Amino acid sequence: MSSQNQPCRKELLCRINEVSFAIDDLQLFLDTHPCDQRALDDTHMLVEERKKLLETYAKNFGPLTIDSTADSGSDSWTWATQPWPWEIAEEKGRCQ
Amino acid sequence: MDSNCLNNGRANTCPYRSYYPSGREERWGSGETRRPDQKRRMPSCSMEKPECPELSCRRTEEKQMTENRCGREEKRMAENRCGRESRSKDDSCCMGKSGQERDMEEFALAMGYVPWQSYGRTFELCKGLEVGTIFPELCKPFCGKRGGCR
Repeated sequence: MSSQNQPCRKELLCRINEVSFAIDDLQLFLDTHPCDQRALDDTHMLVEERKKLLETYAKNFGPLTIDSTADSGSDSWTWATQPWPWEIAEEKGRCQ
Repeated sequence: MDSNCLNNGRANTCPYRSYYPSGREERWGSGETRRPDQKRRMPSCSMEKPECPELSCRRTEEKQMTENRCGREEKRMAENRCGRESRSKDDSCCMGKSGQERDMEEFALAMGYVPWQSYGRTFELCKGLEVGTIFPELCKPFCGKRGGCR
């Protein structure tokens, strides 16, 4: 993928954090409201979105979770060699 | 008094003794869910006392407990405040009550209640991450003053 089409790493990571947090909060709600259809629908939608986001992230920057290690398409174990998420803020020259 | 009486005496110290099904001890609120619009069947002095055919001493103790709670203690409490008959009248005469306080009148003191949450509007996801919840009704920022925003 060309660098022009590559998504912004920080924005992508930010979106993953937002979606993941919302799923965690919905999980808590569903623990006490297991039959709430609207909450279930929203959770399923966000889980799908999170899967796609993690896949996109893995393809472009390496896997964020162990589940998406195969999505990175790398021959090596990028899980260990890529920058850690908290090291991304130190990278310069990308989206602020 | 035998050991059974002692055990029952301990259970009788709970002001909601009359709420329990007959002959059973259940923890108040265990696993109970209730919507805010559903009124809890609150115990009162006029409610029937639980039946316990096996233990005659229980009835005696309960009677005593009822008398203590609904008779002398309550009267003393009322007299200490405004000298009115009931505590609720007493409170309303001494200080104005907000609607929220009146709504809580039926609830016992020192008991925790968690109203049932309904799934409604949610924050934008970026806002949810920022404030720590996606549910606006659970967004309670601590502002450093008496537990509420000012």
